Amino acid sequence: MANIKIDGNELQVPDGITILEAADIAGIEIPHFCYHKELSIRGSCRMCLVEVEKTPKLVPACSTTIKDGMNIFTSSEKVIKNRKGVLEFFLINHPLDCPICDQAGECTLQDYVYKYGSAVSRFTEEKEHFERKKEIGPHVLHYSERCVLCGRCIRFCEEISGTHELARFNRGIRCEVDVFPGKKLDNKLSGNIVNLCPVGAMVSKEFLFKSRVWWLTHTESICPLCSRGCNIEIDSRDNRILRVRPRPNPEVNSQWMCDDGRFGWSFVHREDRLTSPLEREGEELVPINWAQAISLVKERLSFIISNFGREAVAAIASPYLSNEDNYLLRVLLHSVIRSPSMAVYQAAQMEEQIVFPSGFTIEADKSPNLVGAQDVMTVDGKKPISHGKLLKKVASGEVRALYILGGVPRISLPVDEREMLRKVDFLVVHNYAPSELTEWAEVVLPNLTFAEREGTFTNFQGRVQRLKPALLPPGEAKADWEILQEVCQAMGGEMSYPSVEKVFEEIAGAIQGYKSLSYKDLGTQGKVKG
Amino acid sequence: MRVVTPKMSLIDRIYIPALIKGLYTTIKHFFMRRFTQEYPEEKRKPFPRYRGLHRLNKDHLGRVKCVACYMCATACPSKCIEIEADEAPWKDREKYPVKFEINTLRCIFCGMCEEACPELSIQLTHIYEMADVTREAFVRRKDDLLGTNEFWVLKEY
Amino acid sequence: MSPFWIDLIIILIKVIVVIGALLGGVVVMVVVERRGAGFIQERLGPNRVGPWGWLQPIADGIKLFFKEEFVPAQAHKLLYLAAPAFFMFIAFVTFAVIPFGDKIELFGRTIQLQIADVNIGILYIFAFASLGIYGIVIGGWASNNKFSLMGGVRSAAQMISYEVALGLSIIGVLMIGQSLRLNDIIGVQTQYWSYLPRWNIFIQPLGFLIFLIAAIAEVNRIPFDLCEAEQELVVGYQVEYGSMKFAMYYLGEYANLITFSALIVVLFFGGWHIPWIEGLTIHPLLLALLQVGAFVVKVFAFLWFFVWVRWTFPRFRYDQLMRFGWLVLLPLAIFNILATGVVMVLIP
Repeated sequence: MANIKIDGNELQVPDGITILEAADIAGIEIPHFCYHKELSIRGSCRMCLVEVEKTPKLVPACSTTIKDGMNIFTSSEKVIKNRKGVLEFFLINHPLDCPICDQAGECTLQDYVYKYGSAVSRFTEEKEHFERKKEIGPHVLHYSERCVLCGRCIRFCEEISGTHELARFNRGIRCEVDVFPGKKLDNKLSGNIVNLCPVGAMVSKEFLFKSRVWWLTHTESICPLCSRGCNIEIDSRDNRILRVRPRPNPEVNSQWMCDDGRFGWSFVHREDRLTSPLEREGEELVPINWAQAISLVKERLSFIISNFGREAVAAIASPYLSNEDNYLLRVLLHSVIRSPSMAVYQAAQMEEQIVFPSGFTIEADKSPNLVGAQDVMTVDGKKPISHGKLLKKVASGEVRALYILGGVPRISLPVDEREMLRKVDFLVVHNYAPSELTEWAEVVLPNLTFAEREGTFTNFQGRVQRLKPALLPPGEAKADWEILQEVCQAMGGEMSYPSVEKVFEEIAGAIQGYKSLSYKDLGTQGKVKG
Repeated sequence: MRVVTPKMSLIDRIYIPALIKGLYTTIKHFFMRRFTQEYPEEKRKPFPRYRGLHRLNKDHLGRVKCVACYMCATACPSKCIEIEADEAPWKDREKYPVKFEINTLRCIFCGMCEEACPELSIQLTHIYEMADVTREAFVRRKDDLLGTNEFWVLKEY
Repeated sequence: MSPFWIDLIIILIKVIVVIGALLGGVVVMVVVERRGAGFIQERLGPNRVGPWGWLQPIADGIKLFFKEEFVPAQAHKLLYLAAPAFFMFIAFVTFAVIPFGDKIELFGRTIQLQIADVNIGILYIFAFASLGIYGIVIGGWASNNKFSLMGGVRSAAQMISYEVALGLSIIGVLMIGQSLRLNDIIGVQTQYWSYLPRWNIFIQPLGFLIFLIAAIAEVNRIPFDLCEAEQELVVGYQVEYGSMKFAMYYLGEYANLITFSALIVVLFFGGWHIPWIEGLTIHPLLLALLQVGAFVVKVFAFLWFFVWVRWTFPRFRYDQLMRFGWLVLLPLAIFNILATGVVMVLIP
C-alpha cells in the first residue's frame, strides 16, 4: 500500500496503480481521452496531465504509477492551463458540428470543453477537411474530422476483438483512423467501437439521426439473445427501442456486447405482435377477451383432466422466458393440476461458440435462461424431461393437452416436432407474435418480449440477473406469470402473486440454489446462485 | 404606533358630495378619447420584437436552412416542436428535417426556439392572425412554415 | 257610432300608443345603456349593427327569439314559465295611470292623455309595483337553483325595506297636492310663486332624494341590484332563464325603469308642465304636443341619470343595504312628513 496525497486529501492506495486510478478511488475526476479501463495505456492525448510535487514537468496521470509519498495536484493553475491548451489544439480542426452530431450530449470532448476549455478560438484559418462520412463497416460510420486520434478503436481491434482492422494512416495534420485497404470493420464486436469513441468520430449507422441522446430513457436490462446474458441498457423513446448499449459488468461481459445482441432487438417492434388473446375457429385465429380466454383454457383443461386423467396434461417451459414465468408454469402443473409431465424446451438454437482473444465469448446456446428454466422446473431434485421425450408421449397419445410457453425471438422447429404438435387435443401457446408454435394452437395468449418484461434470467454461469421493463406492453398483452396466475386461479389454485418480487421470493424459498437470493439484492450486476 | 381611524365630518357622512364627485368623474370620462381599436378594419402594428407565427428560413439555394439539430425542440418549454431527421439529399449538407411540425395550439410563443437555433433557421414573425377551425390546421407542417415567408411579405403590418 | 264605442276606440289607441312607446323606450334604453357604459369606460360600445349601433336591440331580440327554449329538469314548469310573463305584464300595466300630457280637445271631445285617470293613481302604482316582485320571487323559486332562490329572497327583502321609505317619502307631496290623483298633483305644480314654478322638487327636496334612492332600489339597479349581483349570484333569479323568457325580464326591467322615471317627473318635476309657456299664444294642439315632448325629455333625463348612476357606483353590501333602508331612509322620510306638516300648519 502506498500513502499519497491528491489535492490535499491523504489516502492509502494499492501499489502499482496509476495516478488516474488513484484519483478515481479518491473520487476526483481527471479528464482523459485515450485511457480506457479495459485497454492498454498509450498516454497520447495529453489531456490527463497532472502536477506532481518535485517533478519539473506535468506528468500523464494515466501512465504514471503511484509512489509512496506522492503529492498530486489535479487542479493547480498549471494543470488547468494545460487542459485549456490541449483542448484548444483539439478544437483547431474539430468541425464543431455538435448540432448534427449524434454524439452530442454524451461526448467527452464536448463535456471537457464546457468544463475546462475556452469559449473562444484563436484559430482563424480554414480547418483541415477530410472525407466527411466513411462507411467503414456494416454498423459503423467514421467521421475523420471529429476524431481526436485517441486510438481507443485501434487498440480495441487489436486487444479485444483481435481482428486488427483499424490503424492510423498518414502523418501530422492529415493523420486519420481508417480500415486497412480492402478490409471492413465487420467483426462481431464492431458496435462497441461506437461506445468506445469519446467523440462523434465513430457513430452507429442504425442509430444515425434517430434521436438526440438526451431524450432517451435508459433502462437496465439483460440481453436475451444468448446464454451469456450480457448486461445491457435499453435506450428508448416514445415506447420504441432506439438503441441498446452494453452496461459494464466485469463478471459477465466486461464493457462489451456483440453485434447480434446490439442490433437483434427488432423483433420487439414486429408489425404482427399479438395484442389480444386468440381462439381458433377452423383455420383462423380470432381475437377474444382475456376473461373468455382464461375460461376457455380452464374448460378444456378440466375436460381433459376428467376424461383422461391428470397425466394427460403436459407443459413445456421456455428458456427464453424469465424464472418467474417458468415457475408459475410449474405451479400450474405441479401444484394445481398435479401432473408430472413437465419439460424444458432445449436446443432451440445452437450456434458455434465464438471466443475473442480478450476472453469475451459469444455463447453457443442462444437462449438466455436455460439454466434458470431447468432450475425452476426441477421438482424434488427430479430434473424435467427433455421436450423430445415429452413429444413422444404426445405421439403415443399419452398426453392430450399441451401448454407451451413460447417467446423465442427466432425459431425454426424441426418438421417432425411441428407435426407432433398437431396431434394434441388441446394446445395452448404463449407467444408474442405468430410463429410455428401458434400454427396449430387452439388458444394463443399474447405475452411480452424482454423489453416489456420484468423478472430474472439465470445465465450459463448461474448468475441471476434482473430485467426491467423499458416499454409498455402492446395492446392487451400480459406477462406470462400474470397469465399463468389467472389460469391457476381459474383452475382452483389458491395463490396470489401481486408482483414479480413475490414470485421470486417463493422461488428463493422453493428452489435449490436460490435460497440465498432476494430480489432487491440482485441489484444491477446480479448474483450467482448457490 | 397606533392606527387612528380618521373621523368623518358631517359632509363626509352625508355622502352626497362624494356621490356627486363620483358622477362627475364618470361623466368626465364619457367625453374622453376612446381607446377602442376597431380590429378588422384597424390593425394593430406589432412592436418590433413581437413574437408571432414561426417561419422556417431558406438558404441561398432555397433549401430549408434547418439542419434538424433538435435544439429548438429541446429548448421548447411546451414541447410543441416535432422533428424527424434524416440524411440530406444534398452533397454539402448532411442532416435535414424530413418532418418539422409546430403545434401552434401548444406553442406559447416564448421565442426560445429562435434563441436556441444555431442556424438562424427558425424565427418568429409578426403574424398574429392564426385563427382556424380545425385542430389539424394549427399543426404547421414544414411546408407551411417555409411558406410563412411569402405570407409575411404579402401581409404588410 | 255610440259614445261608448268611440271611447273604447280612443282608449284602445291610447293603450297601443303607450305600449308602443314603452317598447320603443326599452329599445332606445338598451342602446343608450350599452353605448353609454362604453363611453363612460372610454370604449366604443356596440356600434356594429346599424348606424351608430341603433339596431343592436333588434339583433339581440332576434338572437333571444331563436335561442332554445330550455326548462331546467327540476324546475316547477308552470311557475317557471309564468314568472317572467307576469313580471313583464305588471311592469307594463303600471304605466297605465301615468299622465303624459294635458287634456286635448279633438273632434269636439276632451281627451285625457292618460290611459286611466284613476283617483287613487298613486296607490295603483304602488300596488302594482309591489306585485312585480312576485315575478322575481316566483321565478327565483321555480328555477330550483340556489342562486336564483337567493336572488329572489334578497329581492323580496329589499322590496319590503325600501317600499316603506318610498311610500312615506311622497306623503309630503300628497299633503301638498291634497289628492291621490296624479293629474291633481301635476295641477298643483303648474302654479307659480311669482316666477318660480311650484314644482314639488323645490318644496320637497328631501322627499325627492328619498324617493329617488328608493326608486333605484325598487327597479333593482346598481347600487341596489342585490338580487342580480353577477359576482356573487351569477345573475340571481335570472340564472336559469334564457331566450324569450329572459327577454321578458329584460323588457319588464326597463319598462319599470321608464315607469319610475315618469313617476319622478310627475311627482316632483311638474309632469308634462312646461314653465312660463302659458304666456305665449300657441295653438292648443301644438301646446299639447309640446307638453308631451317636455314629458318625454324629462323622463329621458332621468333614464340617463339611472344609466349614469349604474356605471358610477359599486353595489351595496347586504347589511349596508338593510341598515341604510331602515335606519336612514325611513327616519328621514318620517321626519320629512313631520316637517311638511309643521310648515303647512304654520304657513297655510
